Amino acid sequence: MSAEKIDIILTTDRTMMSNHHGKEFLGFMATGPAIGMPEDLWMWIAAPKMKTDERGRPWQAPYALRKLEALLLDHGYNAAVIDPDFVDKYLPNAKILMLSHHDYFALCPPSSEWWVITKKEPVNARSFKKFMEKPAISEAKKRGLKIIVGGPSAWQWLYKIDLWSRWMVDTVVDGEGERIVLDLVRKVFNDEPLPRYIFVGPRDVPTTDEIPLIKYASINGLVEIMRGCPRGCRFCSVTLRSLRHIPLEKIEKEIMVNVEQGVRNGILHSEDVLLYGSRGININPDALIKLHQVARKHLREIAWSHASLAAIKNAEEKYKLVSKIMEIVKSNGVQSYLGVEVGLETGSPRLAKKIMPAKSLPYSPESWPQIVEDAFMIMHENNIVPAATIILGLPEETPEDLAQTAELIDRLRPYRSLIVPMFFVPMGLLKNKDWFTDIKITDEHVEVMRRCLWHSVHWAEDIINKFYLNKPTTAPLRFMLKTFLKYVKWKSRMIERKLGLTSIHASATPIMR
Amino acid sequence: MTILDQRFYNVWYVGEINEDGVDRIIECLVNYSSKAIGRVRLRFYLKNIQDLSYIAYVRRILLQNTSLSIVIEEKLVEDLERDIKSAEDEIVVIKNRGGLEIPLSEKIKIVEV
Repeated sequence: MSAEKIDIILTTDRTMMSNHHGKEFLGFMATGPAIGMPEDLWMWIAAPKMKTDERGRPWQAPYALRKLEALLLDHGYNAAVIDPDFVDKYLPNAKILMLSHHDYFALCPPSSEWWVITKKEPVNARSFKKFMEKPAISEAKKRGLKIIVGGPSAWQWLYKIDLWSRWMVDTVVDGEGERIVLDLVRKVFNDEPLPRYIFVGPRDVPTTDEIPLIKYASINGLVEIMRGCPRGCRFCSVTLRSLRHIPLEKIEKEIMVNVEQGVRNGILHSEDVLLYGSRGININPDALIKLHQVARKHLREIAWSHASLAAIKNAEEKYKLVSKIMEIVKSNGVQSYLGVEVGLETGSPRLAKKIMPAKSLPYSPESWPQIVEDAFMIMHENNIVPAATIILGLPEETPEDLAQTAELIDRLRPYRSLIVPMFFVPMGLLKNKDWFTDIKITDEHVEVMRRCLWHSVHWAEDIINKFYLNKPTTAPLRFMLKTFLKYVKWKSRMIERKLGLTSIHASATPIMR
Repeated sequence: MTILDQRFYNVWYVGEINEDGVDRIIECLVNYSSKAIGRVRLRFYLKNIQDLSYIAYVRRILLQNTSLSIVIEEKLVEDLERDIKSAEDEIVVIKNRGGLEIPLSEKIKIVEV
């Protein structure tokens, strides 16, 4: 038993407690099962162990855990983020085990999609189950440990009541945690019963003043620049919460926390980075320039978490802002590209109008395919590498919608990008809709998925060679990933031959206008 | 600012949990969602507090809600009478088959399933 006592342990499983070799995008491999290689090797690529100190405190940890850790420390609690491999040491004396996860049971996209396609449980869910089955946790439960779980996938516990019961989870928190966590911790310390489930509604989200600054480094230097989103897409849960812009001085302080602890790259996190400082969807060029100047001052490499395609087009066409920002980004002579996730969602203007009427603003939803193509071209010309998502199985989707999506993917062939199809998961205002399962996969879905596959396989090699893993130190990882890509190509061609499908090849020549 | 110390509407459920009972709860929540407080404490009185099977029913409630803060609690059915006597705020008690007799109180509004 350890002499050191921690009252509140904040942790998660290995797939979350990893910096993915400093390459955030490799973390997506943790949403799939091991394919074409042993699981240990897959896990090494997707989620290598995090460096820790001798007490098991991770060098970098998920941002949400860092926020709660800061909140609890600020309120005088003895709390710490602990690496999952070191948790056993602290459980005998702990009062609360607090867990967070993006996808506890692999029910979110893209995990759910991998699961449906491969019929194998993704490693994130397997890893989390392995963590929860630790004998030390059940021992600590018998002694009175309270388990509180949260994070963006908290809702998944509603579908896993057997595991909720088996692991004796006391409380599930669905929503932003800053206000409710102090309530729950106080209850535990006062020996009062805990509620079973909490949904934090829009009026109970914290103000920017209530959001604490992280005290220790976050995974890959992620810092939040905004919360919420004004676009109101019906499939998204983030949009249910009000839009808050984190003041620049707070962002800078968090960047410096990371840099001072040796995390010299950073990810600016927002649902739509180009709306930082905006009023609604009206871009604020000054705020964005200042944000990137601050980031450039402290960081070696900058990434964006998410940006909307309409904002990319609008920013460039109205203010030449994408080019200006990329000049700032490249000005240190080290960084040559910038990675970002973008939501393409559909190629159908009809569906776009129905499920995400404000996503195209300031342009009309009818022009959605053109917005997508223009934004892809702008990104290609500015060395911004997007990982775009498409949603399959949206409510009221028709074969015609899917044909338009397939056609749009064909038009995007010249632009360096990854395009990932994801199955619809009921969230946001659509969360009471039917789940999309493999039973409903149609030929049109298969066509869209094949186009995404060949587009992404083609550009993945280019991205790996020229941008993502182009340094000598990343050679082993580059070799592994290129071998994996060869395997995927071989396997996909084999399946296509079996199904009598003709090959799809992505063009390598960019269209320049 | 914390959440649990704020004002909540209280909905208590007693008796057999089924789809009709869930419909009554949803009706209550729809009514509350347009009101200013925006928070509901939904308490289930259960015979066995370890039995989480009722969550399968409340899933529909939680998945339909986007605007209210909802806190789900469980208590033993034996505590109901005492809790009603000590209630300070207005409470809607949804009562289904197998529910106990509920003592009359001006703070309690009973909804039969």
